[in-house]
Amino acid sequence: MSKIFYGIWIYSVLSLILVFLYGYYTEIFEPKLLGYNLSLWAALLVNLILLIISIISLKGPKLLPILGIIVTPISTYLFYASWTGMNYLYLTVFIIIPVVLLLLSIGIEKIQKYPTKKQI
Amino acid sequence: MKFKILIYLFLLCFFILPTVRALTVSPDHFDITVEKGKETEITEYIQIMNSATNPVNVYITVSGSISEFISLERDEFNLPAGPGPHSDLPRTAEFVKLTISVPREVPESKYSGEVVFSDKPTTGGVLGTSVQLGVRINLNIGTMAKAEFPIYVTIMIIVLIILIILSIVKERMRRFNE
Repeated sequence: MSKIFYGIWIYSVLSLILVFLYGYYTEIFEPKLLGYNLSLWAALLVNLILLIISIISLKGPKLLPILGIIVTPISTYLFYASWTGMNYLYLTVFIIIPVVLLLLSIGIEKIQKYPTKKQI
Repeated sequence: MKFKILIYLFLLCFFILPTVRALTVSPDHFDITVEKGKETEITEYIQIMNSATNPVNVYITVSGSISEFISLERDEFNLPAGPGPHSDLPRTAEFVKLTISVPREVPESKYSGEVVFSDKPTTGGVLGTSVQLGVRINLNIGTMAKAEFPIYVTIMIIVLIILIILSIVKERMRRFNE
């Protein structure tokens, strides 16, 4: 649990950094690499970290790692599409993803902390 | 012989000049600056006026590097007969809508060209003349567009920051309890 929790935390911080760069240093994503601008590669790198940690954490509880694996391509696309098309709706969904993952990880940890009636 | 040539020239000017002066466009040029890295669509109107007593078929073409961004509402129309070049009455006029759509990524920093209006008299005499009037368009691609986050993006950023801080605090407390 702890591993995926840290993974999501790192992913959230990196996502936040990407959003700040988007807002204040837009030009940083302008250079092109293999035909795609840096917004794609930056988002891909951030999501790759989450993907690797999610795969590593698959041994434990499955919900968060599976969610992590599902959202990585979506998140990468959202950031790239948002920057290239200046679409803020995509950016909002890009931010919502770490918010939901963080909420889930905090919530799951809380549930595990307190034993259920069945366990008692 | 020279005298005859002079007379011909005089007659030519006499017939052509009123035709040339018959059509006018306004404005004569546009200087447009757009931000880099942002899809932009600009709508402009060009007024074309006729003072000649003949109706005129006007054809519109676009030339130059700007042509890839310009779309015209129509490329041909009929301009009714005007009151005559020396009349004080208002000239007949039509507006032509042109849309300049600049994509997000453009290789050059400057584009230019002309919207050319050419006429062809619908009814007329023996002397056929064609007038071409151009409206110059200069497009400058300026500095990079700054992102302006709407309120819902800002709210989501704040929520994310709060959650990141909250999770640090929770982790610290968990370690402290252990």
